Amino acid sequence: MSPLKITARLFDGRIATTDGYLPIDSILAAAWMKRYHPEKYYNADPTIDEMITPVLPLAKLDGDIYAASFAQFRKAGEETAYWHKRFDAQLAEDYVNFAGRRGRVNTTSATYKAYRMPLNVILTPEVVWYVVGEKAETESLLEEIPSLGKKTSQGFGQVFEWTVEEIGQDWSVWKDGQLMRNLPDPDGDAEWGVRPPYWLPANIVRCRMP
Amino acid sequence: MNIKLDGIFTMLAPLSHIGMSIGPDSYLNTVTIIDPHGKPCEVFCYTGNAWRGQLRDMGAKYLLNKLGAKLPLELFYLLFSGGAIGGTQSIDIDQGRRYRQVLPFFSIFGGGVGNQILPGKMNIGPSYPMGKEVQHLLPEELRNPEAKSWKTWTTEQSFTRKDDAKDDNLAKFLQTAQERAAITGELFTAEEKPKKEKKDAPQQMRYTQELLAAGSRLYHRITLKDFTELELGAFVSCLTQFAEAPYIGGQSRKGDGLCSLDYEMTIDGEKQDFVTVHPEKVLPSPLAAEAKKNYDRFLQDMYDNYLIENKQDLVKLMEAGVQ
Repeated sequence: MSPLKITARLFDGRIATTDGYLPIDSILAAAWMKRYHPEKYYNADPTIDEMITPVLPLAKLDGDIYAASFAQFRKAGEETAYWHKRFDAQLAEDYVNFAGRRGRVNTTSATYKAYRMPLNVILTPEVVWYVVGEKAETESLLEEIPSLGKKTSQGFGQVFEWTVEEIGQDWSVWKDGQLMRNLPDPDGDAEWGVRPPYWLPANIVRCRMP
Repeated sequence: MNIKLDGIFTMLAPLSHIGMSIGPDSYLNTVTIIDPHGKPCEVFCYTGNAWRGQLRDMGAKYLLNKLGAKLPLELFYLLFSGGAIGGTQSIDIDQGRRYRQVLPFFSIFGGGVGNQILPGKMNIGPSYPMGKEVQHLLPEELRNPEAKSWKTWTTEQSFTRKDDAKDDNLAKFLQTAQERAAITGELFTAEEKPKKEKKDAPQQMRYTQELLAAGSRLYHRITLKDFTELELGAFVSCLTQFAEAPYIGGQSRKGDGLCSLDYEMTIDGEKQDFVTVHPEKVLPSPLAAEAKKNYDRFLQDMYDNYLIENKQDLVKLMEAGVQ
């Protein structure tokens, strides 16, 4: 394993994310699940007894943490985008079977309410990560990842091209005195995940954040 | 394996896709993107969400028309709108997984069931006018160094909405207060005037819309993730249904948004023609060879046959959607 720089050149530069952390070990874990366990990947099953631990081509630090940075990018802008969802009454007339009852759908509240959802969008031409890992396997896994961040189904965060290059120095955790990823620290300022899946309560500890 | 589609809408009528409106005037939806020099710039955007929503509706219509089925409300909402997460729901995650197994259409779009999301298998990108601002986003063969800004492709149209109730020539068709009273049974004498009519909201107005001109071309990318052949067939069925009325954006009642659509497919780095949609028909693109025509037909037939062969089971499953 060697120090690597991973770069995602973006399509239109729009990534839907609030914190912008986008940990690359998490992205690679998703790629690994998609490749080796597609049934589980597409049929969410949060039963912890059945959790599968991905085998990632990354070096590990003490505490079962990957030598993998959070996303590094130059923010060229930030804006709020909105996406909309509504109940289509016209289609419902043709395709809903109200089973002989009076067809009433409440679109002013609850399940069928139309909504306008805000989404924080960061603008940047490219995103960089630093890791210590196997170059070929990392490159191969990244082929599975067409987009980054939230709402990729709507085209946010599309990646034009992934590149992985070997670099002389390990910047996966520290670079020029700057922390590149979170690290467990009892005096840290946040409780955060330290390994994929980052949302899993068992993976969340008090951390020092970058 | 991921398949990439490069798509181009060619507008045969102006496109209306509103972002902001001020009073009676509405303006095109714009977003900020990174330009060829790495700087933010504003560009019109027909959103991926809009096109995805339309494809979802088309695919669901195609499916239900083939099956001749109507659905319980909750399942209708799942197929046409992607469902919802949380709240009281009678469709649970196990049913959602079963739908995914038997309905390739549902599998490619995904949806929210119970308190979970079953992820779809498509990333549908935003469509941008192929002006100078997005040349760096286009495949090389589509780039045009002479391209002008998309801002030179916009146009405005003003419309008048008339209040026909105030037209003396049409007033004879308007019910008088006495006629209405005779129908409702409300009595009043000649001395008693009927209750003062509530002042109606003004109906007459002039409004203006900003549109993207006919002839504009918009580019977008779609990634199809781990598609099976059946799922590819389901995607083609969405386009087939779309071809019956190929309008995107708003104001289709006035003819806005009529378009043709070309898709080129890249698998394992190899590009090939995929589907071309013209109003009312789906055709192989001009460059498509006879083999490709058969391939498209095969996909479509496969999906049709699948639905027909499994019709009984599918109808039974869907009708049992809400227990």
